[in-house]
Amino acid sequence: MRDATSMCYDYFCTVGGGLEHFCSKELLRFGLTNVSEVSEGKVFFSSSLPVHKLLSLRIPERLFLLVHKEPQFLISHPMRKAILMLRDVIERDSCSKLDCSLKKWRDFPCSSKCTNLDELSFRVSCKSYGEIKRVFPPAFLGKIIAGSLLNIRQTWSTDLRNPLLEVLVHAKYDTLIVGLACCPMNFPLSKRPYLPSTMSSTFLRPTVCSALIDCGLSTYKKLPQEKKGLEMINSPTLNKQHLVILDPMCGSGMILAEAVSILKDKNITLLGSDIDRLQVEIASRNILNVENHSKQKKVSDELSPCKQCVSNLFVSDARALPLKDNSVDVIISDVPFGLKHYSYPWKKESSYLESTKYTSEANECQQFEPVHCYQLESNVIPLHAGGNEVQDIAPKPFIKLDATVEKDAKGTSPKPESVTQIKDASEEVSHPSKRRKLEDKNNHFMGVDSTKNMLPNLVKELDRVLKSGGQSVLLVSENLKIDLLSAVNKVTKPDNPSRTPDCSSKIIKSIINDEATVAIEEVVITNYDESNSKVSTKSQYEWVPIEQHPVKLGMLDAVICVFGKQCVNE
Amino acid sequence: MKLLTHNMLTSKCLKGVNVGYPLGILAKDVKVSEVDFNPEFVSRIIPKLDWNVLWNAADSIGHSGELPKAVISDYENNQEFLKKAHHVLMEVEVINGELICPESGRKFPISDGIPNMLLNEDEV
Repeated sequence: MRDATSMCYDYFCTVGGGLEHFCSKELLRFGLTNVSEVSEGKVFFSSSLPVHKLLSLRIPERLFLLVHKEPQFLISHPMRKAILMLRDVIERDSCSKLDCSLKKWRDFPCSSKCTNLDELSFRVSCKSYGEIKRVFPPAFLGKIIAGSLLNIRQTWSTDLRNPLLEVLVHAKYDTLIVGLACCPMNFPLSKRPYLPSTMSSTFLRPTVCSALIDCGLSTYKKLPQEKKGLEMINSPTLNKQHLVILDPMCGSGMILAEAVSILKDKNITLLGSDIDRLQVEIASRNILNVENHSKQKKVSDELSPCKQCVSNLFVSDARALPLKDNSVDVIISDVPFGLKHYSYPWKKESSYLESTKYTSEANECQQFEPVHCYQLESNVIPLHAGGNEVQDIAPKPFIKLDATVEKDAKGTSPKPESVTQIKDASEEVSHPSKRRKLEDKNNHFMGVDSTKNMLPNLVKELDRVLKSGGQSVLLVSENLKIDLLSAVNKVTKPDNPSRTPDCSSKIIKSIINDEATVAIEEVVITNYDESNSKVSTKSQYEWVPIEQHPVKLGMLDAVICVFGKQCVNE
Repeated sequence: MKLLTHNMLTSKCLKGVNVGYPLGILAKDVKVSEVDFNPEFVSRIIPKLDWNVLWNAADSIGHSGELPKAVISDYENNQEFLKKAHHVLMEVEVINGELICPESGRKFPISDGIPNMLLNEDEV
């Protein structure tokens, strides 16, 4: 019985929307793990990995020991029967499984305060969805489960505030899941100890950052293909190379901070830039925290943590980067969504656009977009206040930091009044008020529009600094994806302008017809394919879309777009 | 701003500037702080650097010290050389000063170690 398999336990983790795939990849990379099922928001697996390894997972939100999982019976039976069956789940069926899971649970640090398994304080956290919710509201479900637990463990007590053990019950569509939390409620895996806890929800989630970095390295052309994504962290190839990674719109530097903590001992130079000096300062503080944190952790370790990335930060406009051509291996960035962070259009920008067909097409697009954005936004704000997977557009729950956070222009706005000189304090203060005025609902339209107009110039500049064979990972909001794709299409293939109107008009048509986004995506992608075969002029590099991963940021839909700068005439 | 960063910065984004490299440094405050030495990192980054630019930059702020004017052969195995390179690349930091475009003479301020490369709209 005591062989390797007996040490294998069943777990599941909860994952941010769209990141399930990244999570299972991460688990498989760790080895000793079988991923058994990936469903919306959850990944089920069995693993014999040691506890500290499991707790070092970067993509999941929370980790649970799986006690029970079975097809849904709650609504397929009469209420009375269903309740009896549910009680059976705890009291009979999974009793031995519960014992076994509890034993493993004691290995996790969150159980350290527990001295005796017989005197355990616990709480039951329940969620039920859809139809089940009507018959079994979460509170009711919780009562039944808690009652059953107290039946079999009479010495246990309930404690809603500070329980030692949290029992999770999810009744969703077709499955009922019972699990034991392996990390405290207020300290999920996704919480990074080096980040200020009160601020983290206004930033891009570190889990999403991890996924972005994974994408950035995954198909990096010069690395052996069998080593994909973060897997190649330990590959010898990387140690022989030196990669330059750039986040041209780093904001508060979440992507860079995550990169430092993942890639700390690697031969990597991180460059970060933002248009807003204050954001760059926040980023540099965040990155410094990460480095200090890893330093403390490794004090006894002979491996020296590097402190080399701290000041590779500068203030610049992502449309006019102060870097050499072909000097960056990987670009990873979070493009402003135009909701909270948006760009002040360059005067030149409008004329640049007007002179091309792209503009008129884009403008046509915009006739539809504002309505869409407005709805999106008004939906998002109230819901966001409670959610924790919030990104950029969170309302302003942190009053003190308000001014700072708001000011993040994500490297997109040339602010004429502050361009040349070092801004003095009074100028700094004058900004938030100006910005706040623009926060008016009406002006959000302008935000989205100006972000759209900025995209061609942005892509053009990124293309200039990106090495051929390099990779670019951009996180954009779902409704800006089409604009990004057509900007990439337009800008990185200047010799072939005939295709763009085609493409855009199809897109517009599909928007008019209110077709699913998937359909739009297909239109764009097929257009790329056709065009690839048509290009036959001089050898040139263009951005080829490699992957797209839709993700959820709170209530907002976004897409991770991965492009490779490849030679098309190879 | 470390000299490693300086080695990568240009003013090419300015209108009418073709190369914009290397940027001149006018340092007011220079700080030297200790950074862990990672020989691997230094030896991998050397091929990516413009050594002349690095040397001149270090010289212009008075920190070229004993740094050789050219990359020596077999530098990967020369700890002493790598340490010197490490010192100049990582430990010397310009806190306040200016970066100067070699072609147009446009100045970019460096304050608290962060260079500000923003341009006026008419300069783009």
